[in-house]
Amino acid sequence: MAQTLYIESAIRQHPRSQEILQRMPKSHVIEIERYGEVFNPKSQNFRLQKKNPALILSRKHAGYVLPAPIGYGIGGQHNYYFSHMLNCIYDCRYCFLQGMYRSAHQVLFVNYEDFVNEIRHTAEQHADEPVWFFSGYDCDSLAYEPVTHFIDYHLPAFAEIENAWLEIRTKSTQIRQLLQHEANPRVVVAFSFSDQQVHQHSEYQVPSIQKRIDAMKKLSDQGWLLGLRFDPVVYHQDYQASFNDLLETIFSQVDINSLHSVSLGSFRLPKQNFKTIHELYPQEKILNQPFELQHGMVSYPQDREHAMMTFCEQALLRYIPSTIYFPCRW
Amino acid sequence: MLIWMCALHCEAKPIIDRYHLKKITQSNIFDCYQNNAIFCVVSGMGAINMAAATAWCAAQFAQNTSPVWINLGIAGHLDLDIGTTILASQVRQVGQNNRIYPITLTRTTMTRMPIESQQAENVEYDDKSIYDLEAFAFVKTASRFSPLEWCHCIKVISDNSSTPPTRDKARISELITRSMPAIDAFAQALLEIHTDHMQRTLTAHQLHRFLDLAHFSQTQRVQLKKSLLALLAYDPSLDTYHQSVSDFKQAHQILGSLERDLHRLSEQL
Repeated sequence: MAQTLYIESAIRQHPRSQEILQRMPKSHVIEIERYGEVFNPKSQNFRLQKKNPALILSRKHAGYVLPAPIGYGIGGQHNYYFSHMLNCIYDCRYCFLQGMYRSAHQVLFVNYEDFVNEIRHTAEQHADEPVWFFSGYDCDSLAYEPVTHFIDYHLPAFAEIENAWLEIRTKSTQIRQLLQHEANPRVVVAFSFSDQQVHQHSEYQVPSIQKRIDAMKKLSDQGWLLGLRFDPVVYHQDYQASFNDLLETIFSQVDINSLHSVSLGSFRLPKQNFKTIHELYPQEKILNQPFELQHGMVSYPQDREHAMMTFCEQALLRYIPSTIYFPCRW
Repeated sequence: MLIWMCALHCEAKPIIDRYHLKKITQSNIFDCYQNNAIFCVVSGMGAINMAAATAWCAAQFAQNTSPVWINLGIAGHLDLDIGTTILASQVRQVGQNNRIYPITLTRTTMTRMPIESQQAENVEYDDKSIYDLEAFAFVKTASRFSPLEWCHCIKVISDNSSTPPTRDKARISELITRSMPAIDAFAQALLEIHTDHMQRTLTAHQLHRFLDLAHFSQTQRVQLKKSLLALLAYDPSLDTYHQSVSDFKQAHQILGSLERDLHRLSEQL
C-alpha cells in the first residue's frame, strides 16, 4: 500500500476518494491542485520512485476513451482503450510504461462515471456491432483492485451496454471482486505471461506463474471467459524450451474451452520509449541484446523475430485452435 | 555525497558536531564544512542567499554527480510544539502558485507538512503550513542539479503563537541537536539508497582507461560509455574487458568487441 497519497483538493470530498482514504488509513495524505504538479515535473527519477511509488487521486477531464493502437485487437473491428489508472504497481523491465511518464507514481482517476458515459456514447456510435474496450493499456486492470474497486463499478455498467465488450488485462491475482460477480459473457479476463526465466529476471513484484494459473482456474470454474497474452515474448538463449514449458504448465491446468483468445507478440518498443528505458536501466540484459530500428520501433533483427514468432506460434497452435489465436501485428 | 544547507551557523552547528565536519579554508564566499562526502554550507538568511549558496555549492562540489541535498533550519507554526521536527511534503513561496513536492523514498518518524517560504519573518501563522524563509529557494535551486528524490527540507519548530521567534543561537542549536536522531536516521537511509544508486554509474577513471586506447569520435564516446555502463554489471572493475581490447588500435574495433561481449552475455538470463 502506498505510503503517500496525493489528492486533488477538488475531489477530496468525492465519495470514491473518501472510500479510498478509509482503505488507506496509514498513508500520509497531501493535498494538491492538479495531479500534473506531482506527476509531470522534469526533475524526478522514475527508477528511484519505483522503489516507493505514491498514489495520486485525480479527476480526468477529457480523453476518457481512445482508439486502441493498431494490432491491439482480438478479433473485433472497433477497438478502444480507457485508463482509469496511469502506471502499474509491477516493475517489468520490458514494459513501455517505464518510459511513458516521468513519474512512477500511480494515478487513479476517481470519476468512473465519466469514463462509462463516454464508453456508452462510443458504443452507440457502432450500434449493432460489437465494440471492444481494453482497460489494461496504461495500467494493470486488477492489480490495485483492493483500493480502486474498479470491477464493482465497471462490471454492472458494462452489462448494461449491450454491444460493449471489455478486456480486463492483468498479471495480478486480485480476482476476489470478480468472483463476487456472475460471469459476464462479454467480459474477457486476460492474463499476461512470460516464461519462467523472463519472469524471474525481469518481472519484479509480479505474482508467480502458478499463482496466476490458480487465479485463472478459479475464474474458469465460475464461467468467466479467459484470455492469454504472450506479449512481449522476450528473447534469451533458452527461450524455446522455456516457452514450451510455460505452455505445458498453463495448458495442463487451464480448461481450453474457457479461452476466448490468445495473443502473441515479440518484444518491441517505440524508439524514444526504448531510449528512455535503456537510460533508466543501462545494465538490464533484455535491453542490451541486438536490436534493429524498423518503422520507428526498436525490435529484434528481422530473422530473429521471424524465427521466434514462427516457433512460438507453432507451439501455441498445438494447444489451441487457430480461431482464437491473434498475433500482434505492428 | 550529502550536502546540508543551513541559513545560520547555529543551525549548522549540530550537523558540524554530529559528522565531525572541518571548515574548508579556501572557501571565502560561503562558510563551508566537510568530512569526506558530507558537506555543510552556511548561506546566510533569506531566499536569495540560499539560492546563491546552493548553486555555488553545486558548481564547487557536485559537477559530475547528483548529490543528496538537505536544507536544515528552524521554522514557525501556529500551534505545533516547539522542537517538533518537520519534513517538507510541499514547498511554496508566499504569493506564488508554484509548488514543489519533494519525493520521499524512505519511512520517517518526522511529521510531514507543507512549508510556506515568506519574504520576511512573519508571525501571522496558520495551521496548514509551517513558515520559513529559504525552503522554496533551496528546493527550486537544488532540483536543477538533483532529482526531487534527493532534495529535502527539514525544519525544527522554534516559534509558535505562544512562543515568539528566538534570536538565541544556543537555543536554536539545542533545538536542532535534540532532533538529530530522527534527522540523522532519515539522512542515513537516504544516503544508503543514494550510494546503491550511484554504484551503477561509470567513473571518469574507468571511462578514460578505454579512451586512452584509441581516438574516439564524440559519437563513439557515447557508444563506449553505454557499453561500459552495461558491462559494469558483469565485471565492476571492467578489467576483463579492458584486457580483451587492449591490443586494438581503432575505436571501432574496441566498440565492436565490447558490443559482441555484451550481446553474448545479455542473451543468458
